[in-house]
Amino acid sequence: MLGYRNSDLTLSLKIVVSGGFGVGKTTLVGAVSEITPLRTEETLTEAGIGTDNLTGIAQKSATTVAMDYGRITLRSGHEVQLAHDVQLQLFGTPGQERFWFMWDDLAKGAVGAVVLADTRRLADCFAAIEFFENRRLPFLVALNQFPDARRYTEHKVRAALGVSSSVPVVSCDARDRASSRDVLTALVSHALHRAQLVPSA
Amino acid sequence: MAGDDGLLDDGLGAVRPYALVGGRVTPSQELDRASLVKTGPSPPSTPLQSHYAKAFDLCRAGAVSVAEIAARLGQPLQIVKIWLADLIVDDYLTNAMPDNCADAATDPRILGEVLAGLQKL
Ligand SMILES: Nc1nc2c(ncn2[C@@H]2O[C@H](COP(=O)(O)OP(=O)(O)OP(=O)(O)O)[C@@H](O)[C@H]2O)c(=O)[nH]1
Ligand SMILES: [Mg+2]
Repeated sequence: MLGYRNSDLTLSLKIVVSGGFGVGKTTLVGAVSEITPLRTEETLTEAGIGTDNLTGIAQKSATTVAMDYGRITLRSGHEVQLAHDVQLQLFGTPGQERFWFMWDDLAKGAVGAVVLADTRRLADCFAAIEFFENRRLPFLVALNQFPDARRYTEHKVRAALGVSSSVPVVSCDARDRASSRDVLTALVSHALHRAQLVPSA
Repeated sequence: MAGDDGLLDDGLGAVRPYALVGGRVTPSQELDRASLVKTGPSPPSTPLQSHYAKAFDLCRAGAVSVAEIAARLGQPLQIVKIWLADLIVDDYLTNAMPDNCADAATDPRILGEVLAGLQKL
């Protein structure tokens, strides 16, 4: 169907990659990104929490927070027809929990979030799960399979996390491009399902 | 505004990014970190201040996100948003996204297309 793509405009869609310290967020973003992953820096102050605002940026209390950035461009072709080219923007959050407050702005308008978890220290991802539940942002839990970690059934992990049965729990190797791509595919599939259930107002 | 005499062009060298936004704290345009911009219809007729010129050059290849520009410039996101907003006001840069795409992330048709696209990667 030639001519389906109707402009040279590009849609932008955000995906958040979060989880505890050292769980593989940077690795996953780097594995799927079409560009060498970049680091974005933001200056945060307590006064500026949740606002897009530079008040206090010159003060000593300002903290710089780095996030991973990567992207995947989907173009219309003979196999997939898109109304517009799409740039998926991948944002890997910092691992330290004290920066959770900046995710509010990050989560706004996002397709969904990947919560990376390590079964050896599952509790590290609780804060992220709680945050996305509260924000009603579609998310899934991706178990990054470190070699020395015991394998648990999806059922056991789901029970330990206390997430609803509608939240996908998948396994991955964040170093592997195809495996990481499959995590994103599962997330978009989940977000699509949610969008079909809850027509956007 | 992007062509004003620049601190960086005066050979001062290191200037705190805060000084390059003239003390302003909010950008003049709504820009998200994931907003896409591209070069506008009317290229600058006079040389831009160097920080604006660097930002502008990163947009020549096509739609690029605010976050990517900030990362490549090595400057905080909030500062770069202000610079990009200035360049948009001057028509040197323009929004690269379709209008009314605010709900794209919950649009089943778009999500279906993205899913098909990812599966073909
Ligand atoms: N075996 C194995 N190692 C991994 C995997 N993913 C990441 N790693 C390693 O784990 C370490 C931490 O990975 P990162 O990607 O830096 O983790 P992160 O979540 O970005 O860490 P912070 O940003 O510090 O919170 C690195 O040495 C990775 O090489 C995986 O799937 N399997
Ligand atoms: Mg990291």
